[in-house]
Amino acid sequence: VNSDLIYDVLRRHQPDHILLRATRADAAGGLTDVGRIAALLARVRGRVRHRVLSRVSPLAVPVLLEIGRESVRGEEGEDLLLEEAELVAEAMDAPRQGWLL
Amino acid sequence: VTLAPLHLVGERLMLDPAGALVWPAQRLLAVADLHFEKGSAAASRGSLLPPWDTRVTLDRLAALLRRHAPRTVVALGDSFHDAAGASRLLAADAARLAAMTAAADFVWVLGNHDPAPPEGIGGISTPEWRAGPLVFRHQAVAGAAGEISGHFHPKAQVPVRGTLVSRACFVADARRVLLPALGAYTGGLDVRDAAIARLFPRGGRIFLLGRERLFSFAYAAARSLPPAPPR
Repeated sequence: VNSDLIYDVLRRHQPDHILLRATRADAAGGLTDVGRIAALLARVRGRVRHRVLSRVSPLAVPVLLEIGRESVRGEEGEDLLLEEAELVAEAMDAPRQGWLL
Repeated sequence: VTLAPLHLVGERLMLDPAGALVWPAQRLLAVADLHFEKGSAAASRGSLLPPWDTRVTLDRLAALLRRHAPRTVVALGDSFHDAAGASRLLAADAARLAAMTAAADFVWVLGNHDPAPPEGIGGISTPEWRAGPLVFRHQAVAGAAGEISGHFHPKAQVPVRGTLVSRACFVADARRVLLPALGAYTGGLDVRDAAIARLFPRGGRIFLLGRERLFSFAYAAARSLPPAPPR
C-alpha cells in the first residue's frame, strides 16, 4: 500500500496517529520548520536591528539562494498544471485532426 | 463538480471526477474496485495498516449516491478485498452499507478478489450484468463492445512543465471504458502497461481524476516513466 493512500485515510480518521506525527517531524527536519522559525522570531522580538546594506551580506547569501526553491505541491496545484497541459494538448491536437474533436 | 460526457455504442454516459460512471438514461451509477476491508486483510497477515479504509471508501460512495441519486448501483467486482471481507466490516460500516443497499438496487459484479457473493449486505450478485447495449463486468474481455469494467486500477502520468503528474484515471475508446478504483487503499497500474495497452490497440482517451473535474488527454500522451522524485 502506497504511503500517500494511508496518509489521506489517517488525516481523516486518526489525525493523531503516530505515523502522522512522525511525518510531521520528518517534514520539519527536511523542509523549513515553520514552527522553529516562529519560535526564533518570538525569541528575538525587540532585539532586531534593521540595516540597509549597499550590497548583499555574505551571511545572507545561502538564505537568498533558498528563496523559492522549496515547494510542496498539493493536489490543487497539480490540478492547475493538468488543466494547463490539457489546454496545450487540445490546441496542438485539434489542427491535426481538422478541429473535429 | 463537472462531469465529462462520453458516448459508447450509442449511449450517453457521464464520467464523475470522483471516479464513477453514470448512465443518466438508466439512473445507473457504476463504481469499481472498492476493496472494502483491505486494511483488515493486510492486518490479518501481519501487515498493520490503519483500519479506516472501508470508512473512507464508504464516504466516497455516499457522496456519489447523494450527487446522482441512482436507481441502480453496479459495483464492478473486487468490492471486497477477500471472500471473508464482508464478515469483517465494523458494525457502523456494515449499517451504513446496508442503508445504501436499501436505498438503491445494488448489483455486485463478482471479481477475482471476491468470487463468491457477499452475504448479508443486500443487493444481488452476478458474474456480469447486461443492460441494453452495455455489459458490466470485472475484467475487460478482448473484442467486447459497449463494455464497462474495472480490475486494472488504471492510473496515468502526464508531463506538465518538465515534471510528471500521476493520477488515477478512466481509459476509454469507442467500445469500452475502464474505471479507476474507488477503494481507499487501492494502488494503480500504469495505463502504458501491456495489460491495459492491449485493450486499446488504436489508442483512446484517458481522463485523469481531479478535485472538481476530469483532465482529458489522448492515450498516447501518457508517459511510462516513474514520477520524478520531489525536489
